Amino acid sequence: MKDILNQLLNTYNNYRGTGKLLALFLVSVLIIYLLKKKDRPGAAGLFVLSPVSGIGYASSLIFGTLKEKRIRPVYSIIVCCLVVIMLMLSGQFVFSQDDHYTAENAFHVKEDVKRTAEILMRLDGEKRVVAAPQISPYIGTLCYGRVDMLYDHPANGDPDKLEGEARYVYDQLLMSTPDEGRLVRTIRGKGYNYLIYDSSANYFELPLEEYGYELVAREGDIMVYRDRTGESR
Amino acid sequence: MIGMLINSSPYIFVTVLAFAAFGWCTGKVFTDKAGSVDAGIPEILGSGITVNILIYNIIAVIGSLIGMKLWISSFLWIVCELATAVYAVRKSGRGLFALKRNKAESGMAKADKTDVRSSGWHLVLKSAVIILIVLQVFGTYMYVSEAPEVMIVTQNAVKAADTGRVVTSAPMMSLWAAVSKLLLRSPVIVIFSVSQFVMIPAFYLVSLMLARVLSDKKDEQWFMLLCICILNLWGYQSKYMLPYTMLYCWFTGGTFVLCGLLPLMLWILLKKFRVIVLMFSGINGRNDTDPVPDGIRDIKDGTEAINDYYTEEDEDMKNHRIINARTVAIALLIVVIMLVGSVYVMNRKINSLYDATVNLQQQVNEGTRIYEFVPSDSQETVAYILRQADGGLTVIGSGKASYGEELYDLISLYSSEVNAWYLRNDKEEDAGAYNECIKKGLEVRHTYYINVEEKK
Repeated sequence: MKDILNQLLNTYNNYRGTGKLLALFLVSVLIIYLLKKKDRPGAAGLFVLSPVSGIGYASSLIFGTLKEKRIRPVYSIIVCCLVVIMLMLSGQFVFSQDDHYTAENAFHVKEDVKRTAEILMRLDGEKRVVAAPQISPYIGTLCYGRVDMLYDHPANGDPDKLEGEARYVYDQLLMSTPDEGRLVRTIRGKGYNYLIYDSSANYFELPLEEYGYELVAREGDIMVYRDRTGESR
Repeated sequence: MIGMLINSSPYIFVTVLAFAAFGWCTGKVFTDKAGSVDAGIPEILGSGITVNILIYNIIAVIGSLIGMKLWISSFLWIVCELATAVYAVRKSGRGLFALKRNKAESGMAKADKTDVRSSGWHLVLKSAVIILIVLQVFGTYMYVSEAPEVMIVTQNAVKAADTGRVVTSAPMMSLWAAVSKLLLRSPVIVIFSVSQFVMIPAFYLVSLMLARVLSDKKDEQWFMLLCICILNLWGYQSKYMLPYTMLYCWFTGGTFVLCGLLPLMLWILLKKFRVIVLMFSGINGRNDTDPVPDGIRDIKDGTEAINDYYTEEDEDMKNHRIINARTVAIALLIVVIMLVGSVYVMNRKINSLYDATVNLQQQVNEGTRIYEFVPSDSQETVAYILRQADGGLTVIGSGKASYGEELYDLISLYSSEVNAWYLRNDKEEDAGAYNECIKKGLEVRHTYYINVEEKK
């Protein structure tokens, strides 16, 4: 029972975000109930189907009530602006500068990554790929079914969801200077024959050629190396 | 950017036109069956597009269970759409594109003329909402989210397009894969550069439907929509919520349910609120003192309109019509519950299957494995190769020199180095192949001679 409760609490914590939206919704249900209890008794509860609509409706009820009471327009505007500001504070702006960048193509993937995926698909032979975490979700999607990825993206971005060597490789490729020798041994041991990384993010002390890799493509900062030792199984 | 838009515009145009045209026909039938006497553009288009997408989802969910091919699901969907369109044309005839005018609308117009302030508000709010919606659509087209979770969601669409089969538990992604096949474009392009022109306006049309059923005052309706716009624009809640957040994942099943299907259900419930309350209270029939649903009271004036409404409902009941507003609402509710339930059950099964198999390969690789060496010209096992969890090799036995090359090839498959090699003795008959392997360059760290004789 305790486990179930903990699980529920964890799930809630993961999904709630700031928690302000839930608070807004509960307040909205109360407003709808109070202002519409004569016309639609019990209807407020229906908005659980669409909380966003419920919040919007409650806001419009406030707006309507202000008008009905013939409050001065300036006060109405102030109240409406406050409502809008409150709604803005319930979450984060979607198109923020940190979170978004201008699309370079219709795929909504960086041009270098898209070209790398195209090159990878054109290459012959079995393609078992290890790519740096910032590239792997895109390569994994664009080449889905054509290449075998050690990982594309851990569920919900949580590296703990990766197991064993995948977790190790993921962590190493997040570092600016990975442990090159062990990384190569791990990748080879797992039987992956391609290594793709961003040379502006990962710096290898020795060229990968020293470890039996060959550079097969380079797109911008993205390097595509193939294991030419043929040892990986 | 402009060039990208020009390149995509024919696909966007065709997709929007197809969804709107079929949506209009379905919406006509749907609003008619739902008993909406005041169905305008938002009701017809919003409900039509949503129901059409729901139809595909139902086909895909059922189809995925039997491994249906993508083109069959598309074909069935188009057949359903065409059948609905034919039905709508036959039923409405020339009135297919006519909108029902009602007294309330003309009444509103008069009220607007007399109430300049209300009219001003309404125009300002309407303009703001339209601008915000257009900005949202083009924002999702022009800007890319850095969240990889958004890209990962589309993998099932790529998989469906690549394999040509409907993907289990991802009906929406199968829809975009089907559209991509029809447009001859990559599903990733269809999702990120075409679908928002259909989905985002459709979601807002459903919200406008709700606003119209909730209030008869246009300024209140548009203020509600403005608030919904703001909530969507400031919609980022958490990473876990991304697949359900409209301006990140307008194309996913989760967003479709949250922003399209559930508001549509809410619209039906609000329209039929009184009927449902009566139904659950076990009360049949109507008293003169019963409250009149808002949708009706708001739209029509006087007892004539109210009686029209009840007459329609009573006629439906009297004639025992199978398809009436109530049954449509109940059927929709059942379908949604079944859909959500089946997706949930399927997800659980897939998750448990995934959990059971995710480490299978790793476990197989990590465990110690034994390989028998049976030379091609012999029926006997002359050596065993033990491959340990860490990849190290141990060899037991060898055989004569003529087996050397074959044994070397087998060992080389796994490693160029042997940790330990156990031999019975150093005679040619028992260690010949071993000596050949050494000559070929195989590195053996430790060699052990057991020097035991067979007891006869």
